[in-house]
Amino acid sequence: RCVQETGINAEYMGIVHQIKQSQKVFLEGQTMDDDQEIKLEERRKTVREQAYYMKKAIDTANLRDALRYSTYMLNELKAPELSPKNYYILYMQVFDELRVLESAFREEYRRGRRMADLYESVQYAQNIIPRLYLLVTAGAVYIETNEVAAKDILNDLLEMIKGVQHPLRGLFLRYYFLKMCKDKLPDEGNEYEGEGGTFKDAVSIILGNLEEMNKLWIRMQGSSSNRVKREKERIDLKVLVGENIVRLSGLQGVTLEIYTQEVLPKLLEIISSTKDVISQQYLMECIVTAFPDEYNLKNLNTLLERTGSLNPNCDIKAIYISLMDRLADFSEENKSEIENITQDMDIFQMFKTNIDNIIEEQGQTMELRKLLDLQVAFLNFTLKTYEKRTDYVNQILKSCVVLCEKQSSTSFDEDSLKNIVKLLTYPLESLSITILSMDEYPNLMNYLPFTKRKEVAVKICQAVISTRHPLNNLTTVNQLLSFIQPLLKEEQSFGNQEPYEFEGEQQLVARLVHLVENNHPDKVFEILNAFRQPFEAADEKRQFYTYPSLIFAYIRLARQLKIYNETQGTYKKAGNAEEGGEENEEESEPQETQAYLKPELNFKVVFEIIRKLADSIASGNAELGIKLYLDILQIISECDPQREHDEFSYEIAEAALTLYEDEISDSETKRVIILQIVGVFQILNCFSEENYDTLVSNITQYCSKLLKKNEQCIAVLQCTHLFLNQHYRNEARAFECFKKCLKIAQTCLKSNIKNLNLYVSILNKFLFFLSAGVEAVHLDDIQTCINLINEKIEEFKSSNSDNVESVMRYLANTSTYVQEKKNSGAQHFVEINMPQYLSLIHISEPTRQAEISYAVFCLKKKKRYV
Amino acid sequence: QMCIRDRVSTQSTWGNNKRFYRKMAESKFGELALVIGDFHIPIRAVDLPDKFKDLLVPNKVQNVICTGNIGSRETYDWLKSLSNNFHCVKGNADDIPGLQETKVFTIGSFKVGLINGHQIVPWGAEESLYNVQRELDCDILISGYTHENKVSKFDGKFFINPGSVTGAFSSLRTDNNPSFSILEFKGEEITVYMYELKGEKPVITKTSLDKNAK
Repeated sequence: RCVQETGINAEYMGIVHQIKQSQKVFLEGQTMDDDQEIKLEERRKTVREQAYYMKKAIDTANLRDALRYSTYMLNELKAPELSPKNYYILYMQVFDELRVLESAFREEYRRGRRMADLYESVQYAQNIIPRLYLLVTAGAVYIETNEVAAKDILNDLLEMIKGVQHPLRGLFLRYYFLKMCKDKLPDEGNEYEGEGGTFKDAVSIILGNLEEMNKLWIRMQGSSSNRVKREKERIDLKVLVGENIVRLSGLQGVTLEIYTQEVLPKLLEIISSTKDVISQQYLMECIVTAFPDEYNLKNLNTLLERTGSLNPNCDIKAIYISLMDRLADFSEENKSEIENITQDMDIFQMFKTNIDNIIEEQGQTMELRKLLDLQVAFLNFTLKTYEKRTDYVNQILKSCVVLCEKQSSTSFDEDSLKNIVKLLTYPLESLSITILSMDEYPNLMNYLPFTKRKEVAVKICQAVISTRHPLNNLTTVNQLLSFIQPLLKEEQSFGNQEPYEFEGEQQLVARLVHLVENNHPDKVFEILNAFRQPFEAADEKRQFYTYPSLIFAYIRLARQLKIYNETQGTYKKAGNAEEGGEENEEESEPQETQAYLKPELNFKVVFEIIRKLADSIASGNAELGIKLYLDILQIISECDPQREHDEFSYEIAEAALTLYEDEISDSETKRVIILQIVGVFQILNCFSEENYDTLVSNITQYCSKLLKKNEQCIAVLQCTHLFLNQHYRNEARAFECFKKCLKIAQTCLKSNIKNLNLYVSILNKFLFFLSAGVEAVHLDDIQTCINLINEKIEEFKSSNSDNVESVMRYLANTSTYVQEKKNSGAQHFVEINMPQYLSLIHISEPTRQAEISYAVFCLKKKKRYV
Repeated sequence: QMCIRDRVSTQSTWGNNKRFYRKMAESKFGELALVIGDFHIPIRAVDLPDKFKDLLVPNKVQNVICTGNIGSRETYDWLKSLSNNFHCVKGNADDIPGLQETKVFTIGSFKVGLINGHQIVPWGAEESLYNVQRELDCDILISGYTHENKVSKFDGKFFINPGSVTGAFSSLRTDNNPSFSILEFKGEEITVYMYELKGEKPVITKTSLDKNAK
């Protein structure tokens, strides 16, 4: 309640500010207002003056004079000529001055004056306005003394106040009354309860006051010709009237039960007793905001019905929106409570019926933007209150579609479109992929222009990705694809887009395919085909992003198929499938009838598809193409240990190598790519020996044709693995590679001593195969290599090559490694004779203690070993 | 030659990153490094697991070490935002300009070597890794590519592979659990916390590596 009150107060402060602002505007404005301004200033001056004398009298404890001057001061509040705004300013000034008088009254009481007498004596003031202000002030202090029942004084005051029937003065007087009795109302648990009355008295006092104020407020309208101005003036004063409701909601005694049975009916009665638009609307809004949401939720039906029967000119929509927004927040914070409430009453239906009525009645006259505002609030409320009810959301979307249908294209302004985007994106946050089951969703989406549709499509992708909900059903995927259409197709009318934005969007689409998941490979195949169709129809720019992902999705399918075959054995591996043609079928037919009708699914079909996809990437981007071909070869190798697809694999490998030769021109790229090719080929097992021979010979050739000699050497060195791996063993050819390496290294070394590192690399490769137990590694070769390094090492160290330190470290590490192997008695290693190369370690980086200690440790060990 | 792996109770540190990091801060933890790689977004994987994303927030670790194969620019930028000390090498699938194939840097008393691993033939073989370690002359060799998370010690040198943080497809393995690791450098010791998502179940394996222990 506190919060609500401060809310109203904030509103009030806002109004004061607004008044001050407009004051300034008026100052610069018309002459008539200048006139007002002068008069206000005069009155303010008088108030200041009289207040000064009043305070002076109070200082000398002369109550008689104090009352006299305060009467003069209060006389200014008659002010017949002031506008409500200016009156407000004057009132605030007087209000502040009266606080001084109030404490003077208290002081008098403390000195022993009887409050009854004082209450009596202030009534001698001649004019009614000063008299009543003084009476209220005295009355408040009188109540504080507890000598008299609060309710009696309050009722008495209320009775007297009736004497002022001038709307403006009456409203302010009653507002003053409310302010003064703020903490004097008998309420449950406070000091005025009991003899002073009960909270029910308080309720009836405030309700009585509200009723009167409402009448005065409406009377302000008068029959003046200047209707618009008057309405504006009245709206400026609305907080005065609203104060009553704030007081009511502040009463502890007003429980849900009392609210339902007594307060609300009476309030509604007051509201419906007139047909005044401003009054009805404002008071209704006050009810919604001032009382706890739970109260209003329980009385929702009454509230909605009454709102519906207000003057048709009321902005019922605004009341609904404010109500729904508040209830949505309430639902979010009180999940369990709202669950109970929704079990008892069908809140959704209540709102729906009433909102439909509004649209029915006002749909033709109200702007689309505003109608959609209402729907957005309704949707927000529904999502927060009914977490799982997609059908409800769909109903709302449906009524929005109906709404949009009736509109001419011109009524879709920017705000309306923003609202439609909201209607489409709000459900994503909580419902995510289930939105795909809403048939009204795309219908509503169609009302958006392309950019906005795309915006929604991006949000859909993001929502689907963030939940990681598996896409396991063709129907859902087809829905999804139709929803994100704006991302899949080039739009002619759509201008240029920032490249990074386009990249982001397409990567979102690409990521979707990784969510495809189903225990049945058939189903996965169907779904992937569904993705493939729009991808194939798209332009190359999109395929660059979507195809690689799709390729990997198919690669995963191939693996799934392999595992499925191994465990179920129901699929034939034979490649007699009819290719193509089947991917379009499942589009038209409902998924259920096809459930176990398998399309011919086998490796061949999947591989063909993947290859086709890779081919089209390769034609535009050779580097990516080669990498994808390598990935395809790996999956074929995994699925086809029998090498049934030997020729097919060969074609792919050939395509990759041709691309390498024809399309890759940058020397650095060439080096990186060929090394990747070597890396992949050393694990492949999908070629016949003959084909493999041809391919790896080519690869070795490419390696030896790299631009730089030292790069050639390292690449050819890697090629040794092509001939010595778990699937293929040809030691003779591996040694041809070694020989070639040594030959290149020799040439290199001649031209630059720096290239000594090649020998270290070759040596380590020898050692690798030695430790792997490859018989054919000749110790002689290793020793020759070491000796050669030994010969050149001094020359190398004294050269200015930038790699001296790193090579020496490599060498030192290698010798330590050999030593370790020797120590552990590894076969053949014992016969290797290699110096320690420790000296260099001391030269550089003396801070690296650990290294030294480790090296020294080895040294010690060696001694022992010897 | 593998170190003894002791499984830390998984529930105590998991799922509550605040507590986890606080615990780390309180117990005078040394420098922390996140070791992560093989994202392959969007080509092979949809995203990091949410459970990882919640854990990986900026300014919690002093170093980010990435073994490459990131994929999208968006992921790269996110990763870079995690720490000012960002080390990354080029993976076989990366085309982000400016990345090197190998990188060597120092954290605490350790010299760290970083490489994606597709260059290490045969892939993931211990002897080949050891060869690279000798060449880079590092105390710890961090590599990825194989998507197999692994911590090992070999002749006094450490080898760490954080696995694939997205659990992306790999031709080398069929059971790809998403994983990454956090290293704590303290004096002569490194503690490796390997985070792995087994199904929905998260598991942390703690391994202590001591430079001086034989």
